Amino acid sequence: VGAGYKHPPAKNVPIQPQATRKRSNIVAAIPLGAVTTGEAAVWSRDAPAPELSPVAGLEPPEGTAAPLAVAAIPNAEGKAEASSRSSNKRARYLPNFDYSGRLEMLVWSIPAMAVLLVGGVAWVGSHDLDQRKLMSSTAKPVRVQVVSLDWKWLFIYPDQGIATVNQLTIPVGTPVSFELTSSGVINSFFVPQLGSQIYTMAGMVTRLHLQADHSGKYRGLSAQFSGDGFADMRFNVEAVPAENFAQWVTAARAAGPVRPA
Amino acid sequence: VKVFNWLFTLYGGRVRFTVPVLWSIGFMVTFVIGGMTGVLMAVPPADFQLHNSLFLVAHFHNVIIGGVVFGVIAGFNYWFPKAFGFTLDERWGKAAFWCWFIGFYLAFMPLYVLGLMGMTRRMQHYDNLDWQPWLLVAAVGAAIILVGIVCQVVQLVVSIRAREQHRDLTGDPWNGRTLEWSTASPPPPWNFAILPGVAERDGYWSTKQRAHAMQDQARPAREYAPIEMPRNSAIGSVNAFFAVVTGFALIWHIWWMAGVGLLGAFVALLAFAFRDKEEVEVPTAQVAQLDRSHAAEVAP
Repeated sequence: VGAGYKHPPAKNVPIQPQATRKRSNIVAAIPLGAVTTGEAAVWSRDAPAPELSPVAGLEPPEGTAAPLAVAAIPNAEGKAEASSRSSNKRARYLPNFDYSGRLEMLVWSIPAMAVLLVGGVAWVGSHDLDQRKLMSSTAKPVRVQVVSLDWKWLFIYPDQGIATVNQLTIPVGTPVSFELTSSGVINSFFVPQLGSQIYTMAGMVTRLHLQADHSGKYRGLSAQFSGDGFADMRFNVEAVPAENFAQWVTAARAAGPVRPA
Repeated sequence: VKVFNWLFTLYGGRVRFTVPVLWSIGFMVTFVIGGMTGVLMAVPPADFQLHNSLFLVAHFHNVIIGGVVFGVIAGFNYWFPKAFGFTLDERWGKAAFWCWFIGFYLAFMPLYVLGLMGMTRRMQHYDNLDWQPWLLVAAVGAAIILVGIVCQVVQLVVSIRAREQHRDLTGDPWNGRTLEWSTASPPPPWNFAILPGVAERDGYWSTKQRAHAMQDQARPAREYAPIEMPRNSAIGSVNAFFAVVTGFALIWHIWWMAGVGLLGAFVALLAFAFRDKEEVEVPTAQVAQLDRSHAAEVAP
């Protein structure tokens, strides 16, 4: 005994038996981009089926795993869109659709494969790029101790007997082994062009291994908000050939103790 | 898997691009992008680079705005007529959607780029000219979102002022499939005059199909019975008031006030426990009258 009153006929769409329904041959995949811009909503009834175009503007900027999954979804979504606009009377209309084994297969297998792939990438990559891991190189690593202060960076070269503020000079092609700590609040030591960042924390030492493959000047910064001077808490990174590095060390030692301004 | 679930609710249907559908599709597209970038950042080697950058900021706004705000506004537009008895203005609703949607992408896609360029979050100023154009685009996007928010408010005001034209008499403005659309908008306190029998997934849809198939036959007369409803009570609000007093007092260490709050809450609870009459009976005539007037409004 449901609510048995009559529904307005205008809204009531009669259902055809399944066997007589013809499979529509309308284009089965509209790129997701079209949906995003809302084109799907404004095609006129008589307009020809839209042209296929590559899925532009949707790939995430970086990463190995994402394009696979992105490529899979526009097909599914495009199909649903293409065949389901209310103005498209040729499309299949399945108001009593309830279950499809093939769809279940699709719906579970794609995420499962994505999880396996991304999980594998994450497992291998995490061990490969572990910040504590020594870099494989024949050159002897340069040791640098980093202390984050309020709001500047102190770099100590224990083997060279020098220290600098906001200036990190390193030899090209040689691994640099960092030991990092903080004088106060937490900061994050980060040279985007060289690789991973790492936190600096008071009373603790974190480790990081980087290597500059090309000489040049890079921006270093703190990636963790640390107070008033945070936005300007930057340092210069200069990657120079080994002989220039030796010259720089000698010059710095000869300069004697210098109080930074 | 959830995303596929949502997508396939469109499968085999007739999609009408009404405001709730626009928001739902906007939600799915945006949330998928946010989810993808989330997967990227869940990979540690990528996270070593992206952590604390604007890439992260773009990602979580992508998820929160696309996944929560868009979804909530879709639901708001969809169920508003059920709750308040009149539909929301479609034109302002669409304007709000497109401003939000376009504004969102303009505001947050540049942040992905900026994050990859090494811009960290929470900076109150910056000195990198390469970032400037992207940040300007993002600012324009934020302004468009603001227009969207204004449209959203205007939609509500316009709809309330024109509520007589927007009145939902059928209780089923969307030709819905689930049971809430089978009763009047707003529903009476007892929801259904006669308890609906549900045999399939979309109860109201199958009822409609049956009614359509049997429209030539006389329907059996509906038999009404009185309905017992719990009586309204203010105790809940009183209790909550004393709970707030207790919480405030505990936070600020005002011990006498905490005592008063606890005592008040307990006395309110006692009063509720010892009341004599808990229910009211809605007489048959009232149930039948409301149900018949609803049916009369539904009939053409």
